[in-house]
Order: sequence, then C-alpha cells, then structure tokens
Amino acid sequence: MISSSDTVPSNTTWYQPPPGTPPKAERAPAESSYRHFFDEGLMRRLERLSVLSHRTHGAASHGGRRSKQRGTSVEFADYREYTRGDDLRQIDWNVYGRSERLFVKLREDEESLTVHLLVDCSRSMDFGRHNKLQYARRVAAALGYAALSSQDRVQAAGFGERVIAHLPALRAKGQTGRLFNFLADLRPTGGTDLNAALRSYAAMHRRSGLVILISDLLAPGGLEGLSALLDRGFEAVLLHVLDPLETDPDPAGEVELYDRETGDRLRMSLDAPTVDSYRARLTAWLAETEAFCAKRLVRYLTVSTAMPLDDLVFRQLRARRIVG
Amino acid sequence: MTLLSPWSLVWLLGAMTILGLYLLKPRSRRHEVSSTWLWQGVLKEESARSPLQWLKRHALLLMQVALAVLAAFLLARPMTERRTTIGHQVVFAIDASEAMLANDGDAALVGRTTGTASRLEEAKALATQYLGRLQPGDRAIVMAMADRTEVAAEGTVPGDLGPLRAAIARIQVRPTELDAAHAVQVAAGLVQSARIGEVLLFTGGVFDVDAVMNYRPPVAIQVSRVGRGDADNQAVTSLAARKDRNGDLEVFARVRNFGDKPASGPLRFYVDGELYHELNVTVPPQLSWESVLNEFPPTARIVQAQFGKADLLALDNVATSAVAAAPTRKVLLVGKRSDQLERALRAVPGVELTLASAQEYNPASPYDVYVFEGWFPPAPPPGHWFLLDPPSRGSPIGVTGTLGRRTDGGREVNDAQIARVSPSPLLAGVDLTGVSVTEAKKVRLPDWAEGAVWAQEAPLIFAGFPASDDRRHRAAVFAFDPRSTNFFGRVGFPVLIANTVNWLTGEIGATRSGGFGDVELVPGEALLIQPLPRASRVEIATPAPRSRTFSFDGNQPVRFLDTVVPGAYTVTQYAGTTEIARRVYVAAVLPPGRESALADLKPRDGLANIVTIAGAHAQTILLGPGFELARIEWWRPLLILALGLLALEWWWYHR
Repeated sequence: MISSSDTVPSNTTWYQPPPGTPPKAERAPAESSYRHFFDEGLMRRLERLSVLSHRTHGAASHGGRRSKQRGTSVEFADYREYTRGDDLRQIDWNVYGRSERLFVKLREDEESLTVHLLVDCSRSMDFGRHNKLQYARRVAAALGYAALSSQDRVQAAGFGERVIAHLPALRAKGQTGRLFNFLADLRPTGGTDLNAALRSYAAMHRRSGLVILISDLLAPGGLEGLSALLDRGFEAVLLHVLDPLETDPDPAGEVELYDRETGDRLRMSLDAPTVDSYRARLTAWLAETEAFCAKRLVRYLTVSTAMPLDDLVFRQLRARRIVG
Repeated sequence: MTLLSPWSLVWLLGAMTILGLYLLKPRSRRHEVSSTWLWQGVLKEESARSPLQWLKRHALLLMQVALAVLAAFLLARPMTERRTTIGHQVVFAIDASEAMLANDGDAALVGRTTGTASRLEEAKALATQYLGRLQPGDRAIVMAMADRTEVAAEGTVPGDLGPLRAAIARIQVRPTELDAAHAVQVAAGLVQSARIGEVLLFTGGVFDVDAVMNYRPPVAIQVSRVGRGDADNQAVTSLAARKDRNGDLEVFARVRNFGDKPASGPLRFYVDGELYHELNVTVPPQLSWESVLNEFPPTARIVQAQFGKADLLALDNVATSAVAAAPTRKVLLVGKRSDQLERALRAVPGVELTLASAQEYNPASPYDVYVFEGWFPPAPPPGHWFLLDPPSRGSPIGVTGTLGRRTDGGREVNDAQIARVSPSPLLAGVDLTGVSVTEAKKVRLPDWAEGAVWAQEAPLIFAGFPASDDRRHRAAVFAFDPRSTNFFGRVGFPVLIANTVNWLTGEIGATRSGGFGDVELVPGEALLIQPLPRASRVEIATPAPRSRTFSFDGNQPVRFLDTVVPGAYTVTQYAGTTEIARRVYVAAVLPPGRESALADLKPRDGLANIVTIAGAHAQTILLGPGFELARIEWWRPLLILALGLLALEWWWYHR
C-alpha cells in the first residue's frame, strides 16, 4: 500500500513477488520468515529496540515516538503563558485560579517515524566470503523489525542502477512478514548508479524520514545522490558493507581480475606491493566517504560482513545511536 | 667476435617456441572481485611505474627467452682472438763427442786473449750467449750429445738461467762418436709438443748429415758450427796385436794424416805400460802409414801406440790393443765314446780337457764345463754342463722315446731329421745344410731352455739356464749321439762344439760383437763379464795413467759401467788367491777416423754458420719474438651466466 502523499515515478517497478512465489495468502507467516535472517532470540531482543532519529520529521499520523514538536496529544510536556491566538481550550484554568495568570498546557506530539531501508542489490553485493547482499538483507530485516516493533513506519527498496524493487510503507508489527519476504526476494541485478537511484527515491517520496542506506558503494560517481534525499529533509544513515576479501585481499600473483558487477577484466600482478597500494587506496576512499558523510550529518559506519549481526546491531549501531 | 659454429644459431628458434608457448598458454588465473573500480586506480598507479611492472610481470618469460638465446649463443661457440706472446721451447744440443776436443775453437769467444780453445768450449760459450737472448717465459733444455744423448738441465728463463748456465759449463767430452741422428730425434721429441720449438745444435760438424736429413725432424733445427775447421790432425787409426802360429807377437799399426800437409813425428810403442819401441814416421796428407812390427815380447798383454806430433786433437793420437788370448777353461769329458768329440773339445782355444769314465766322475773336482755322453750323474754337476745323447733314465730332461728311421704306412720316414733351425749363439758360423741325423732321443723341451735345432716333433739341440733362479750355471743338450749323424766329418762340428763351450763359459755375449776374442768395446759401454764357475773374485783394472782396480764377487755376472776412459781394462778372475783367467778389454777410441776427420767442417762465416737443415717450420726465426692469435672462447662466462639465470628463474618461479 502506498501512502497517498507519495509521488512515484512512472518507471518505478513496484515490488512484485518473483515468478513462482505463492500467493499472499499461501505465504509463510511472518514468524517463519524471520528465520531467513535471524533466530528467535535475536528477534525478541530486536523488539525492545527502536531506530533512533536525530531530527523531527512532519507527522502525518500519530505514532509511538515522542516528538520535539509540542502537539495535541494527552502527554503533558510543559506550560507557557497565554498569548493571543492560542487555543483557549488549552488554558489551564486551575493554574489561573491559583496564580490569576493565564497559562496554556503544552503537550508532546507523538510522532510516527518513517524508516526507509535502501538495500544495494547490484552484482557487486553478491560477493564475499560472507555474501554482502545477504548480510545487507539481514541488517535491513533487523532494523525494519525493530522499527515496526516500535510502531514506526517502514518502507524498503532495492536498487542498483535504479530503484528496482519497492516495498510500500508498513505500519504495524504484524506486517513484518511482508518486509522479510521482500528482503528475501531481493536478487543481485545489474550494476550500480547510486546517485541516480537515490535521486529517483527522493523524488518518489515527499515525506521525509530516516533513510538507512546499505551498500558497498563500489561505483564511481560518489555520493552526491545523498544530497537529493537530504535536501528533501531526509535523515540518512549509511552502512558501508565490505567483505574481508575486499578489505584484506591476498597477494594472488599473476591474475586476471574479473569484475563481478560489470564483467570487466583487468590483468594485474597481485603481489604484495600492489595489494599494499590497494589497501592504501581503500583506506583513503573510506576516509573520504566518512568525511563526506560527516559534512552532511550523515551517520556513517563501515560494516564488515565478518561481524556477527547482533554485534553490529547491539554494539556498533547502538554506539553510533542509530538504534537505541 | 666470431662464431665457430654459426649454424647453431638455429637454436634461437627455441626462443621463438617459448614465446609461442607463452602466447598460447592461459595468461593468468581468473580472480573474481566485487568490482575492479578500486583496482583500476591501483593499476593506474602501477602504470606510472610501468617499465618496472612490465618487467616484473614478464620476468619469467624474459628469463626463459634470455636462457634460450644464451643456449643458442653457447652452441654457436662465440670467440674472440687476441694476440699474445708465447714462449719458445729451445733445446740447446751441444756436441760432446770426441771431435769437440779439437783445439781450433774461437779463443776470443771463450774469453781468452792467448792460447787456444776447444770446440766444446766455443760451443758452450755460444750456447750461453744464445741462452741470454731468450725472452722471459721461454723454456730451455740443455742437452749433451755424443754416442748417446743426455739432458743436462731444463728450466724457464729468467728464473732458471743460473742452473742452465751451470749445466752448460758442466758438459764434458765423451770420447765417442756423435750419433747426431739420435740426438736430433731426442731433441725434436722434447720440443715437438711446444707451440714454438727449436733445436739449436752446437757441433763441430763431424756427423752424418744424411742420417739427420733422412730423419726429417718435425721442428726447426738450427746448426751452429764451431771450430775453425782446420784439418791438421793425425790419428792412430788402427792397432792390432796378435800371436802368429809360432807364438810370436805381431803388431799392426796404422797412422792416418787427415791434414792437408805431410805430418812427421815419432811413433812410440808401449808394451804393458813400458816404452818398447820408437820410430819416426812421415805421413803424406790425406794418406796413411801402416806397418806390421815383430820382435815384441811374446808375453806382452797390452800394446799401445802413440803418435807424438802435436795436432788439433790429441786423443786420437793414442791407440791400445790387447793381445788376443783366450782364457783357460777346464773341461771334463765323462763317458767318451768317440775321438771326434775329444778332438773338437781340445781344438777350442783355452780348453784344458780331462777325460773320465762315469765311475771316475767326482763332483768334488772343480771344472768349468762337464761334458756327458750318454750318461748323467744323479745330481747336476757344480759347473756348466753339456749333455750329448741323454740317457732314457736318470736324465735331467724328460726322454719320451726315440726318433729315427721307421716305416709309416709302407713308406720309410726319418723323424729325426733336422726340420728347422732357430737363431742361437751356438750356431754362429755353423752350416747345417746336408746334415743328417739318423737317430735321436725324443725329448720335451724344458722350460729353462731355448731350442736351436729342431726335428719335426722334438728339439735336437737346445741350451739355457737349468736353475731359473740362478743364472750362474748354463747347460746345453744335444739330443742325439754325434755318431748317429754325418756331422763328424764336417767343418761345422768343431765350430758347433767351440760355440757351445764358449757360450757355456760366457765367452759369447761378453762384448758387443759377441764373438770370442773380440775384446773391444766403446768407451762408456757396459763391460759384461760372466765369471767362470770356479771364480770367487773378479778384479777389473782401468786404463793408465789413473789406473784403479775394482773387485767383485765371482759368483755372479759382473756389469762394469765405468768404461768412459779409452784404453785397456784388464779383467782378472781368481779362484781363491789363484788367478784362473785374465783378459784385457780395450775401450777403443773410435772406429777408424770417424771423429778424427776434422776437415769435414765448413768454413766459419759469421752468423751464416747457423743454418736450418730441416724442419716442418723452417721459416721459424731463431729466438725471435713469438706471437700467436690466442682464441678465447666465451662459453665459460656464458655458461655461468646461463646457470645463474636458471637459478634466478627457479627462485622467481617458487617465490
């Protein structure tokens, strides 16, 4: 189901189950889908977790999240003196009786956060000692489940050169099965055009929220696409997934490098100096990316696929206050 | 640089093959990465160091190709040539024969302002001069040549100059004839293996040039003639003393004048060392004076003649002769059967014959030769023995039957006839033609004997040393009774008996000519003496004036080598204190006139006296600088390089 406030480009492919997928009614219940990504213990722990946003986002509906905006909910927040134009219904007459001054009650507006899970499905993600795409799917499932558990809205998309699959907003924990199925059905496809995909996604969604981008970023062109999201008021978290084979390659001698994503071939002598040169280049690139993110208030974290999922979620992400 | 085997460069195709295989082989292992995006940057960095990277990437190929090229180059045998100096090997062959004593040498060259110098002195001075002209690295061999050739010293210049000069100075004349052909042969053999070898022959020129030329030595021979070539020389070329049939002593003397002018002087005769007769003799140029003189004492043993005129060569002015006298040999004939054998034995000079029957035979009585006819004692006699017609039993040799006339298949045959004759000292001067043997013993030839006369199946006459470990006693066997032959009436029979007795008593083979009564030897030649069986001691007295007496054990053959001095060597044998034999051997100076003909010399004419007389490389210049194009092949460093490259490739591959 798509939010009525969202505008979707005509060329976007909405999520459709892959051919051969059983009809929705016949699908396994959500309780069994999570097993693709984590065990029950981790799931129980995730239920007590919520995705943290560092900014307020316009609330189209009330959610389980206390907003910094003073609203109209029943949760008392503070008093302030009455000024002309205030809603007379909010005047606390009891206080007036005691102090003969007019105060209006300020109440916390309970906001519903929309968490956008963007998973890189390019072929370069289908690589690694621990498959990067699978790892990304597990991270997305964990964060999505945590968000739904804390009554946040969750939207998900898979992208490569463009947004190739999209899951409409889910609002209840009972919809986690759809999220898990969507993620499980993501397949590596094509190359990567991160900027195009992000611009496209930003154009699709008028309402801001927290974008969690899970990608290896292995494509030329930088992260300028992120600006399109940020400019629209999105808050962004970038989880940079890399496999140990990428961060610490072995000297393999005379080789022909085969690009999993593009099919390009590159003849190289993979000796120790070359590998060192690669590592230096990787380190510089990571530093450059982190600096870019820091400049744009994007929370950035390099994630190794060798890292256990619970370790990532409950230590790394919590430490970065991405979840809490 | 030149390639000795340029066709081997075809192996460069091997390098092409390696290149082809390299192009055909799968380039490299496929290595999958998520993206080559980062690697492209690395590759760009590598490209900045591209030459080095390229080399690293293709190091194995480059090394293999280089190895193939090196191997092909190795097989092509590259070489360069370099001009290098090489040392000569020079033989200084100095004539030390008798003629070199001629005193017409260049006294100035020797360093004397007055007086004369011998040719040998001049030759030694010349050789020393030439030795000084050798270049560093040259090798010199100093050789003295006369009747035999001896290497006096050898060494390399300049380190061994001193010893070489000393060796030249030590060379002395040997009073013998020069065997130039042999000397040149030896010298050529010494330098033949050298790359530049020369032979310098310093000689008075008295040698057989034809013999040298016939030899055609394979190296350059340079002859440096010494001496002025004066002809003023006379020599006593012949002196013989013998007793006539009446026992009187006759002396024959000949004096030859090799000069161009008549020569007069006293001819003195010494008998046993004492001056006995003197007469004045005038010899026309190039002619001889000769005479037979009687009236010498019959007891004389040694006669010496001396021509008293001073000339170029004093050595040949003296001649010595021993009075021919056979030694006394005691012979016992046991079991006489015929007078012919007794007469033949008595006719042998010096034989004292005793007759005895088999019963009278007593081995305790010493005899030099025991002759047994048809009988042999139970134990071999203590001297030489001579057995005729060996008995069937008790013989020291195996008698297996008889040979003679018999009928074989209706045909009459005689297997005792002489079938063949082997060379033997017993048969010297013996003609066996027509000799017929009608009956003989069939014997096996003993291991110790050598056959001389053979029937069809068995030996008839043989001789040898019966005790193989003791060559002191000799034995001769006639396997037939002389009466069964027609040999008795022939001249050859007494000669055969004489030869047998002489051989048994060592008279044959004692001197170089081997004949009895021939008592001459060449100075320096070994004097071989076979003492008589009775002899217990042998004394040899060397010629006057420095006469010395050497004493030897009489129980074994004597080999006396100190015969360099010409003159009479008196050999006396004793049985205890009793003299049983005396003989004089004369080391005769030379065959008549060979070394005395000093006028054979060509006139001196400066350096022109150096001539090349033969040699395959006669154009080689005497003692000139020697150069050669040394061929330097490069296979060693190339091989080392290839092996190093191979090791590097191995290391690179397993790195």
